[in-house]
Amino acid sequence: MTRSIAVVFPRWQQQYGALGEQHAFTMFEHVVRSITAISPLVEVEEVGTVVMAARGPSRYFGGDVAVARMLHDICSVVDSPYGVGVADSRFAATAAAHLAVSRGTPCVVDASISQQFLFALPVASLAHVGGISVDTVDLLGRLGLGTCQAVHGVGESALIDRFGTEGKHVWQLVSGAEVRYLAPGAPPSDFAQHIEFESPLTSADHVVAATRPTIDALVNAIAGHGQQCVRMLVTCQTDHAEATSRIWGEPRGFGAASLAQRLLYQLDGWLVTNEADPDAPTSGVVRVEFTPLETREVLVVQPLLWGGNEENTERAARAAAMASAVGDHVQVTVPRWEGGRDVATVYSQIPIALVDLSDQYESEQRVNTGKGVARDWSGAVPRPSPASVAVVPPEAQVLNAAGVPVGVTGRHELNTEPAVVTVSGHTYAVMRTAGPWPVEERWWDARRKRRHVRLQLLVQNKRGALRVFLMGLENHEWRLLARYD
Amino acid sequence: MGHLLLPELTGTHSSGVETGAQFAQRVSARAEAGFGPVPVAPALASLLPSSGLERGGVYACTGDAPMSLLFSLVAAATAQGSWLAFVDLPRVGLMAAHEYGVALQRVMCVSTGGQAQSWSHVVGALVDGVDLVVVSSPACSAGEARRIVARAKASGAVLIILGKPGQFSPDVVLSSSTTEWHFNTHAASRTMSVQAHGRRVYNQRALTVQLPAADGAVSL
Repeated sequence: MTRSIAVVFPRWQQQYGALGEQHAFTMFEHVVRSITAISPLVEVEEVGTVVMAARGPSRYFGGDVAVARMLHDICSVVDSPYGVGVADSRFAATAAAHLAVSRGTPCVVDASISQQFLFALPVASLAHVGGISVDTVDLLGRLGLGTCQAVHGVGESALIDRFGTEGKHVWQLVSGAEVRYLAPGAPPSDFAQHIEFESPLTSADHVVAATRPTIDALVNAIAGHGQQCVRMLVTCQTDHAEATSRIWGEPRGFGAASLAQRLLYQLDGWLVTNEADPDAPTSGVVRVEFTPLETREVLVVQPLLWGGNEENTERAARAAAMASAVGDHVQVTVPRWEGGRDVATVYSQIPIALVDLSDQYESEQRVNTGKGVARDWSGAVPRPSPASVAVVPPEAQVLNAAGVPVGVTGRHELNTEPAVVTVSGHTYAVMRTAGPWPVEERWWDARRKRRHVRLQLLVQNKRGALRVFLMGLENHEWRLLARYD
Repeated sequence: MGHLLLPELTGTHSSGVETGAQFAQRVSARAEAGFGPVPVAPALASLLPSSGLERGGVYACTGDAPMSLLFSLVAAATAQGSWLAFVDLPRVGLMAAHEYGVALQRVMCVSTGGQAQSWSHVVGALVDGVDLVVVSSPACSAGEARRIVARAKASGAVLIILGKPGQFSPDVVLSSSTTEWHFNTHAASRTMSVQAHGRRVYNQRALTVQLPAADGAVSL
């Protein structure tokens, strides 16, 4: 049991997340740096939550209440709701801090009542503070266990029986033990790695780029033992022996990309040459150190016994995360229905990280074609839809038998019969046409209006193979929009 | 699949918790889904050696209508809960996929950013967890291809290649050639002959199908 202090900003993600995770973290880094005035080593598990050990600062500043007050004062300049909590475990301290948000004063839970405090917490706090999956907490609720005390009453062995590793985690949280994912017998500091640079690097990007091979080696070394790191101490040192240390947490386990990102956030807030900041380093970084503090076994595929999200979806989400960890140039997206008449934009792509795949209802709504009703719009492309849609439609020539370009009259009729199509160097003979379908978009808006025509062509290539093309004509230019292949 | 614990408290919780019988049924359904071949549209089943897509298998779709053929192959599997990844296929017509019955809520699109060295890492990571992985004209080395196939076999994923298989040697190649397109006011359907050949096909099999059929899928 470690007495801990937690500072939470529950609305930070909403306030600053709109511009991306990096922005939220960089902004948060300024807050974290002012908190390090109390205790040099703090842990950031997610943006908006800072946890530190209470023992050192409490002794130095004269007790838990005094430290909590100081933190409260430090944070009062931040333009976001916040709370400070002190309790006997990380989980309890974070829960106390969340309580303190609405009270407006620090919430210090005395050691003598710490177990009662834990027991009184609603079971939902296991999910949003304790990092237990929503499914599990939901199930506990459905079993009639409303508070942590009720969950505690179930007993350790029953929880582990039912929920495996996660059950153990739940037990540790509700009994106030410090959560340790640590596999017995694998001292994690064995994996510690460092890198030294010959000349000081003054830009955060350069440090991250130069450190990347070390990070890869570290992540691979840990993965080689079937483990993944969930808490990592990152220390950077300058030529003038100034140092920054930070513990980063990632409940899903660090990949090389996410670890590199955390290093970037940490340095971004530190390496700014800000004269007003007396702690700003006076030289470049010469040494970066990684010390894994906690590792845990890579989660094995556990069939879910109680319905809810499917095992397949969890595996797919993990595979997608692994694929995007290969590099920043790899993008994994999922389709979202947008509607409209344009075959290329009827679905948009959104990053898979922004989607909760386990939420079945939300997933179905995401691709639900009922919204926007494109089908009945005049000028919509008829069913069946083309199987290949050009990302950048190539230019094409559509000519009649005499070699004259085919155009469209003012009444949206072809002015001559198409006979030959040429697309990116290939020539096709036209066998049959269907359409044309005129589209007038936003005809009421002089600047944004768009008038174009679409046409289906059955063509034959030189080897006699049949194809159907969807052609578009706009501004006297034909383009191959899509193919029915 | 790990160990399964049968709940000893069957039927005591009324709301939202299934009974032991339902549970056992679901477990056996899952076991079948987990180990048997991935189901395909009935019209195409006779083309494939095991009447479905073998887990760990490599398939290729070529010819006049590879994409439509692909959609009709994978639609049934995605509808029954399998995930599908399109790798470097921004041109895939998702509207058409939807019309063939592909469950788009279980589709992801992956872009490897055009870097050849990361392609095999990305595809390797995907076959570890995604049931059906579709790639387009792969350009990796023979060694990388072997490693990817080994990973797919280990995890039970199906790899489907559109276009030239490159260094992969597909178990089954489905090649399509359109014999006729049917038009009403627009291109409505086509008559297509599909041939199966490859390492796992002892006698070449052929089939004539309507694509799409009246119900939007595929029929004989």
